[in-house]
Amino acid sequence: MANNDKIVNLAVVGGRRGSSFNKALTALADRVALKAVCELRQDMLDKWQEQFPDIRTYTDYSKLLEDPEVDAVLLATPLAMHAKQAAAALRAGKHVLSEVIAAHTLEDAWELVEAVEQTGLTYMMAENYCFMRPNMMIQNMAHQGVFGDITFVEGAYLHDCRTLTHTPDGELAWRGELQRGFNGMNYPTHSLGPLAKWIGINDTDEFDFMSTVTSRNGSMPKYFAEHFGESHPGAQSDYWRQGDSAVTTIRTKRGVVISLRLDWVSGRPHNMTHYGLQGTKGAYLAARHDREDPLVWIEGRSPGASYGAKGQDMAQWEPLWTHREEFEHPLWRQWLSEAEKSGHGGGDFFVIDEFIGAIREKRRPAIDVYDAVLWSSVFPLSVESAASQGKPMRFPDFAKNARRNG
Amino acid sequence: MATSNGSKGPVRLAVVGGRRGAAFHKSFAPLAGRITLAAICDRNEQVLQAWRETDAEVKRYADFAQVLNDPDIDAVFLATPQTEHARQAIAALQAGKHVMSEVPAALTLDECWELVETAERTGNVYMLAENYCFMRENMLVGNLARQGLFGEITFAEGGYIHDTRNLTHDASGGLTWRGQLRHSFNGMHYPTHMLGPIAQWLGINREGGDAFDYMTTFVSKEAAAHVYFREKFGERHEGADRAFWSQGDSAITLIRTKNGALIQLRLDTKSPRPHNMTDYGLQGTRGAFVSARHKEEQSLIWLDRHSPGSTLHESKQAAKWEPLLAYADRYEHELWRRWDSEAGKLGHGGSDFFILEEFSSAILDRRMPLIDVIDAVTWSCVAPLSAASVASGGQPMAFPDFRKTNRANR
Repeated sequence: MANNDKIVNLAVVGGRRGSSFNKALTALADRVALKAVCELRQDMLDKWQEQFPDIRTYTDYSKLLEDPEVDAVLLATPLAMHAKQAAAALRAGKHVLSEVIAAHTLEDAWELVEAVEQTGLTYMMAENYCFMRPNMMIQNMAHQGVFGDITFVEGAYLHDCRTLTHTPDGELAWRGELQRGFNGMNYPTHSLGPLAKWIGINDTDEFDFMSTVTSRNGSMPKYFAEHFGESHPGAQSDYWRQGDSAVTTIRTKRGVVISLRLDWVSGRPHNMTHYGLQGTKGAYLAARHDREDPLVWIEGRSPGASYGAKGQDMAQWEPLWTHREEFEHPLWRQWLSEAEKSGHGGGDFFVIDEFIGAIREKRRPAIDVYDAVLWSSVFPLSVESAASQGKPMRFPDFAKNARRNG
Repeated sequence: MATSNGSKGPVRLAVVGGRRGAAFHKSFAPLAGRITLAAICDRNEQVLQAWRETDAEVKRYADFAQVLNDPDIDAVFLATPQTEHARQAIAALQAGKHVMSEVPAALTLDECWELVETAERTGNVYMLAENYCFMRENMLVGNLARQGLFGEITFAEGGYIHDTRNLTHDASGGLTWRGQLRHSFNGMHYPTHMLGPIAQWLGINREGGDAFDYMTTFVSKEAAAHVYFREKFGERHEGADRAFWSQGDSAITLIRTKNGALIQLRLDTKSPRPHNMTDYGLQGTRGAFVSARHKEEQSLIWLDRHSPGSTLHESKQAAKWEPLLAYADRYEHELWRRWDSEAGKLGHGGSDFFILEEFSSAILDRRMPLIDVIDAVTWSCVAPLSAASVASGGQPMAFPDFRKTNRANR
């Protein structure tokens, strides 16, 4: 409790994505202060300094970690750097809030767990999709048993990010390198994080095994040919390992099936929340676009009956918001106006709020290192599964030490 | 008798399984002169009696073997429990009858092979009555796909999510065939409603088209059936015990094709949820399709260079879905253009009419039907392959190549 009134001094690492947390940091100024920014590009650092004249700027991450006035780092860097940077920060005595995904190899995942266990510092993964309003409301309903015994959940990340895979002159950015270097479920946590929370993974249930099958690629070579000409190596299909669509199926130890789909290269209107749930008492279905409502049907509450008994009306979906009064998540009741002003459907606000709260109250954050590496491990496991025609892969038991120590 | 009907017509059809068969009744009128309802076969005397009252001139049989012995029957429509389809189809083909079978065609790989071999040896017409292939939107999407508007198709999905727990038992709690199947089988036991339309969009088994390569299946635990039986028939009913049911609530099958398309199927026939008959999606390199979530909604489509906006970040206008039916004027399937006024009035979104029309045309024109025996077993074999995959913890299973003329070459 000693730290409860101390303002946490935060450094943002990775100036581009980091800047979208600005509104959230402003809203939480009574508990967190931006102390430093670390970024390789000087022009981006200059912009930060214009907006925040008092901050320190670093181009060298190891120098940042030596700064005694920095309590915590927010890693908004390319995906493949997260785990190593997080472990280094923990070893330097800093709390870590890491962008997704936490680790892209199993070795990195274990190293990260070890660093957290040995330092005792706060590590949280910034999986902002867990905090989106409909996702938290569904979590609240699921935990109260409204859907009965849950048997199936699904999530998808379908977002055409091809323009982010390269620089203006056709060099590959980290997303491009990812498409080139791997074939699997290479961005699993936006879809998986909320689902794992709904069904109590690392609490009342565990992942057991999973399988991944991917399609061939088509959209990336087509795009590179159209934008950079046939002579760009990216215009060739075999330049890219990643298929356009990847689907991962997970089975939990309690017998829930989880379906994840990823496609971030195909042309399609973007829809940020794409989820579904089925239990023995009801179902949930996200909207297809932002002018539709998410839908819910709950036996006994929603109109109609599911199977066709004579004289009964057929079951009919209701907007999820019909049940808002009763099931809005407490965090959204408390912070609605602040959250709606910040990025990613409020997710960015709650991520910072939760991270700072966990540090100050010396408690485990809502998305701790065991959640982070477990969800992220779908990436390396999927690459191996997809390479062997969808062979099922077992999940490592990352939390074994935590359980042993009670 | 086998092919003696030739082009003389009309095809004299016996409907086997009078209950489901009744749904087809209206579809015969617009096809007068091409196909007629000549006989009904059902073990249940009450079902036969109902036909006696409405169609006095139709012959009535309680025994399937007698239908096969009747020389005045050219063809049979098997609307029987799915566990009987393959044996009955093989017997009918051997007796010289053309066969239209309800879905799926077979439940074991041996039955699949025997069906292919029997159809090829006898030369009689075999068609799978996969009516979802003929639904208006599915045919429209198929037309768009064939004309390349989606570009190369990389992903397609279909779900059959329909709470049919009330059909798994009779009034006193005895299990029907649906109940028996869920008691003994665990997998993707009802794959063709989703897979049939998707296979046609991708040109599976077609010249210059694609072929299924391998698949995996995961199934959730059972949760909804035993709760239902307990509530309906009490703790002492055998179905009130979770362990009585092999089939889990939700099944997911992933199929990869030889050309690298990915297909996802979902099946849930017992969880409570509003029913939606068409639950499909498609993604290609030039566009995407997603079906309506319920009857009051429209199916949506986005096509690069046709639909508004762009999906690329530098674009000023974000891509926006359009109603699928905005493309009906230009891309409606010719069958729906020709028959819309008839089909729209009839069962299962018009598709019951089309399967009867297609089956009779294939017999009269002496050609392969749109859904032939190879399609039928290729789609249906997902059930036995899924059971093997589930039993081995989700191992991938290779598809047999039923186009090879015998099993040894597969």
